[in-house]
Amino acid sequence: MQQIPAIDLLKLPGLRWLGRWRYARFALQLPLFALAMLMVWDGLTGAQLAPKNSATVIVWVHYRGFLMLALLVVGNLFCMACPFMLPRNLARRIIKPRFKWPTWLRNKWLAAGLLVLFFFAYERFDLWASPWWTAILIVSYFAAALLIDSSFQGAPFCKYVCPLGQFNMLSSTLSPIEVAVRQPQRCQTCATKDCIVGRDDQPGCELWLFQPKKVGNLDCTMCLDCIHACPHDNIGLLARVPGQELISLQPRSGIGKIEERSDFSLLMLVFTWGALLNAFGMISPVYSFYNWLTTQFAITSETFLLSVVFILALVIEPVVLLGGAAWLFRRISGHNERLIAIINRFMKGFLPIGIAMWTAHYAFHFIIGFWTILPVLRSLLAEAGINFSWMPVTGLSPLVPQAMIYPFQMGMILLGSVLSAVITWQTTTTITKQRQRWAWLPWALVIVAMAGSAMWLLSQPMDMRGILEG
Amino acid sequence: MLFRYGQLILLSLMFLSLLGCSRTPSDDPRLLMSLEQTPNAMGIQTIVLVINDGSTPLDNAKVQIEATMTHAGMPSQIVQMQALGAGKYQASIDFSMLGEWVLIVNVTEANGAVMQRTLPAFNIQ
Repeated sequence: MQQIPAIDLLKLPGLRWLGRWRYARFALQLPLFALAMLMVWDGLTGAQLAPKNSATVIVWVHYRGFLMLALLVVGNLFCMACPFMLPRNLARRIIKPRFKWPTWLRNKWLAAGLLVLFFFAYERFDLWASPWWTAILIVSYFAAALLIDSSFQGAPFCKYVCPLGQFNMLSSTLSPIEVAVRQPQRCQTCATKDCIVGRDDQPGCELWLFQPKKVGNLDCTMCLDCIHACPHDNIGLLARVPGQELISLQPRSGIGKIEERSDFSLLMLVFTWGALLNAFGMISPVYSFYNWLTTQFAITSETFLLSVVFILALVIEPVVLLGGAAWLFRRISGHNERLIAIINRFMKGFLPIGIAMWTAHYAFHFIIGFWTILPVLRSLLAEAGINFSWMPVTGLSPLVPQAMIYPFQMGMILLGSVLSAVITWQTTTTITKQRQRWAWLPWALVIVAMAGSAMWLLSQPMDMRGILEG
Repeated sequence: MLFRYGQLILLSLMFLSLLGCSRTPSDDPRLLMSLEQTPNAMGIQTIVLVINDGSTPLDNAKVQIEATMTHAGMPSQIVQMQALGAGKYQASIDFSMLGEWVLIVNVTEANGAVMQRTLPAFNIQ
């Protein structure tokens, strides 16, 4: 029986231009670049009250919510239209990078560290409440992308540095589309491999993903380079089963086996446990905890208190849970790998619950605060002499009735938990044939603990203030 | 090469010049404002604002108050305050979420003069 070909977004009317037009990505980047410039200008010179400034409203309310929803509904649209790449691409027309990214940095250790640093800075400097710091963050992204990619060949910023990109690429493992080969047999006769080496002035994949051997969305920024480089028009944006790549054990082009890479495990750990930590920073119990810490240690340093919380959430808790589960798994199954190797194999199974938590959290802000852009927009337009006084500035309702938000969040967590359970079960049955159900149980318990924590966090009243002001 | 570095320096200077700019007017120091009691609990609360022009209570002004949180994403409440006399104005605000709030006061005096003041942030616990 002939296999039904997957739906290809690039064959849909209205989207064909993405695959055919060489400047498609540029056209997508341009509006986001203009928006980023507006936010930098407003963040640095405008009202320094977060709800009155486009930098804080767009970045922390709209961008984050839209990002997660887009990742789950379509794919990694932000990386596709990434504005940070625009000056970098223009600069590369003048400056050809001379250096190769150091071998010892060709992994995810740095990116995982930067992701932790970003989460820490978010809490320490109250980024969500500071237009100025938000603008500086955007400028830093532009500067880092420009500096790194102007010095080093390929796209090391996206692949090895950008914390935002790592976040998007991990989340896109559950996306329903991926950049993939349309007809694999066509690639077998291809001698030029333009998708990776490039053709004429069109670069190939700068993240070193060779299409015929590429698996899933990890490390793919959907930049469309391979699509434009392929002379056989054999690469598309194909529909797939979300999460399918988390079950695959194939070696991935440009990555290898994520199940054997501790750097990837650390990145996934930071992403997943960071989802719980980020939500914990926004509820009332965190202030009681800070106060308790202050009385215990007689130290009021914000950096110290935050460090304690971060060490508990990103080191001690996962080490205890994952280490305990791996130890029990080994005892039950008789598997003889080291604990760290076992954790590496199971780590990808926790991505779905992490993605679910980020979505539940960011969707909350997106739904509640969607219309809060109107007063900001009205004020900006008024500055430009355009009177939009009919635009409402008060009495702005959530996008959907508030009563629907919590059930939606619970649904996301349950869905993420089920997917995590399926993937860890699949991993268990692949690794061991001994007492599979019992061997899977420790991992299932970790998932239950995480789901319980997520549900508890989402049920708490939100509380946003400076760390020691309570 | 020198030209390229020149461009980079020029761009950096343009960016740095933004850091010193501000498009928002600073608060008018002429009027003195204080809350009789700073709100501190969730729910609907009546707040009383005292406004003085020097040592004289400011009466016969139109006072509008905007309550918002210090982070983005929560819709503001804008309420017209009711004059109580002796420079006092009253309004009810629904402090619907825990966290840091600010009140932005817009005053239109009887002579048509307009001013805005952002009161110090406070916590609703």
